[in-house]
Amino acid sequence: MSADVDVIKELGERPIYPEDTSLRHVTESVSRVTENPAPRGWWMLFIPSLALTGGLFASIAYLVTFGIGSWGNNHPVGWAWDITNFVWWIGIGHAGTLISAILYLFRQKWRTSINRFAEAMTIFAVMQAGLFPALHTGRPWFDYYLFPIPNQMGIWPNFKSPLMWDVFAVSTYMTISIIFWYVGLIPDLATIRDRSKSRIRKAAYGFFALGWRGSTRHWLHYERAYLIFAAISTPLVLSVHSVVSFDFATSVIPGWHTTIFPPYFVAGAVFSGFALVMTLMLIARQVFSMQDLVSIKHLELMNKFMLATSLMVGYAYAMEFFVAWYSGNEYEQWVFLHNRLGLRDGEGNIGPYWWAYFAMVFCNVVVPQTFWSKRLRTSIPWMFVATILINIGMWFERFVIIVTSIHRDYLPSAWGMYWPTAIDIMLYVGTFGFFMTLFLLFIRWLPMIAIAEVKAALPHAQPHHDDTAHGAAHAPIAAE
Amino acid sequence: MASDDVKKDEGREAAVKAAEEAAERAKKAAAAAHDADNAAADAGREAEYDADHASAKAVQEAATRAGDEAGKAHDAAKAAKAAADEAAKLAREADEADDDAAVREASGKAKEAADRAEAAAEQAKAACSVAAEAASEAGRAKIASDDERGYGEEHVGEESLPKERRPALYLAEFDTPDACMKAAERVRDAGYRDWDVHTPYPVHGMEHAMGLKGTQLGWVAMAAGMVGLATAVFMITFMNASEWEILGFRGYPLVVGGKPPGAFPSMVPIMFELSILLTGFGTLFGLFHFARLPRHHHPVFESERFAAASDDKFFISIETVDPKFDLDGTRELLESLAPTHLELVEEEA
Repeated sequence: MSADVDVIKELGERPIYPEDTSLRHVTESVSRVTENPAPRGWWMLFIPSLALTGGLFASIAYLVTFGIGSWGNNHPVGWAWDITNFVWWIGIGHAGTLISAILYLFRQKWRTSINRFAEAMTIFAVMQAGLFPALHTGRPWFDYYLFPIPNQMGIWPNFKSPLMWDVFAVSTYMTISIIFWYVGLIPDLATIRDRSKSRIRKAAYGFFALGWRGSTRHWLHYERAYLIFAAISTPLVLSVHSVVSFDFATSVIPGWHTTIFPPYFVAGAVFSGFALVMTLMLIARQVFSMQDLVSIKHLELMNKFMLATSLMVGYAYAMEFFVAWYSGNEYEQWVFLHNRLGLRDGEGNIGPYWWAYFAMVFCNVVVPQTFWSKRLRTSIPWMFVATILINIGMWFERFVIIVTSIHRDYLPSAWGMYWPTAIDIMLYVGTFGFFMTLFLLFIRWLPMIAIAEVKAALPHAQPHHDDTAHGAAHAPIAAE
Repeated sequence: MASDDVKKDEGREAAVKAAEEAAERAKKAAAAAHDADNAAADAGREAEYDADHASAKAVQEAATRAGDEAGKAHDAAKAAKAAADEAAKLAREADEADDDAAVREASGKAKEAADRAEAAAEQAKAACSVAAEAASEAGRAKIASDDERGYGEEHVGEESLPKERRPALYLAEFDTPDACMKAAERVRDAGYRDWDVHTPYPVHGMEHAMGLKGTQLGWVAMAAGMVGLATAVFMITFMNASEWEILGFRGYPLVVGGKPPGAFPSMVPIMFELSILLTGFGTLFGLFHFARLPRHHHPVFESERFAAASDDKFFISIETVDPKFDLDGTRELLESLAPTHLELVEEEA
């Protein structure tokens, strides 16, 4: 039975799941979360989250009533926390797609423990992200103008605008993420349906399980569908943050007008998304005691990913300075040296946002270097702290790009400062509440780990072909 | 001596040949009996159905007769099969026997067995025609009684009668994917069509063990994606780069940033996004189509044990609608695969 395990051992590695993990154990430990009463830890997180959600909707009501003047945005800083939060939340979502799609294409089986979780995070994060530009239009009840719908004025959208591309990219991303997530859920919903005792649970899970009966005639098409979703989500996720970066890169603002933005944004998105997956996973595995399905090996791999993406963003930060110097463009150099680093100008004035830049570099480049040490990248308290710091750093990255580039541009007479108002802060903090509320409902009622996928990745899950004729018959299939 | 040998050989050859012919004859008879048995069984089921759905005495009687005859046909067919097997065995013996006497004896016996098989087949045929007759009589009687009571297909007060159940499928349960895969290969080789393997997760190679053809989903996805691409090009060209009037809507050539109205590079992001969007929908609905989902009712769910198919057990199901399905034959096949549990799942008739 253990041919695969032997091969893994020969390579000097350990299987991801303990060799004696049974199928029943996987079913049990994931399904029981949806069946047992919620643990106290869940309520301790849920109630504050719900309160913050209330705060979010209250601040949206205030904003819509009194207009976006209740934000701190004002000339010259027309984009501030709203767009920072939009880019940050979209970026958070990207880790989910990366884990579910790109790691699937690379056949990284360890992803199966975290992909469902990360995909849910993607959907909820994109929901938060979508709020900000929708509200930033000022009159959100006219947001339907964004879509190519015939209207009474005979005006069509301007498809040359990157903001229009954003509309298509983000709504496509949201739709595909939901479909991908749901298709992945179908077999696991069937598992929960089959375990259900009460009529209501049977009907509810049964309805969404679509009558799935684990038939090989289903799996055959299902696995191909999954592969197609992974194959289209991979370029999609790269395109979404590229398009988001076009919002800046196609402008002529020094500090925004750079060709490095698309890959730089994508790397940063994956970086921050992994960090948030880690933060949430560390809490969830503790609260629902799932340490064997999400093992320290998984966490260590995630930390290695963060280290790699941290080096990528660090490289991008350095490259921006190089290009500013190499271009010989003094406006560009001013943005980087004065607005960001805070070096004194001719009059001896310091750049007022220097602390944001240094917070960004510290959190995003310095902190992850600790993951070179095996002891630190397998230390749960440290990785918890580090992932929170990384998310703060990634928020600052977007703040630095957006606000420091526009607060002091060509004419000193037009300079200004940006400070957030209470509504700005409330709205941002409120999205955390909304995100966590949705997320907690998800882990409470849906299988948070992909049961069928974990089973398929267990050491003994796949039949091994002992007789040679049999093995030969299957050889070309394996290659496929 | 030499001529004697030749003669002896000739005699022996003739006897062996005769035995083989007899075996062939018996085989044909057994096949005929088997067909008759199937037909009789069908007639029996038909009559039984009528009897279940009509209370008239004439129907019940005719149905009982059809059932009895079907039983007779089945017995006769069994006898024919046994005789044919015997004839075949004797023919082999005749071929292998050392001395002439034994050859001749075996050959004679084979002939006798063949005669028996033919007689049994005749019996089966006769029983079959009686059963068919009785079944059609039951049908006629049912129509008559339905007419008398003033309803056709609708049955007043049916819900008060106990729900009748009929066999829907055999469900064989296995503990390991290996055992299930080997069993699936045997079922595939037996030539079944309406059967399935149920596993808690995708077992690699199972579709080949089942002899399924690959999926065509990729083509559907690609076609949908191409539609998305074309939609994007058309939409942007119409709205931003034309003055076409379509269904009362007018395009407007929009010049922004000094670029020509139909600038291709600025179309690319939306062309890409719409291709992806429609590929996604194509894949989703293609999956639903190919997997015949959603389907919330299936006889397999009638089994209490089937819940384990989404947990830790592996199942093979063979449905009664399969042309090769046979209550006994299929059971024998499944039993020979050594399942940990085997059951006949019934559904509401």
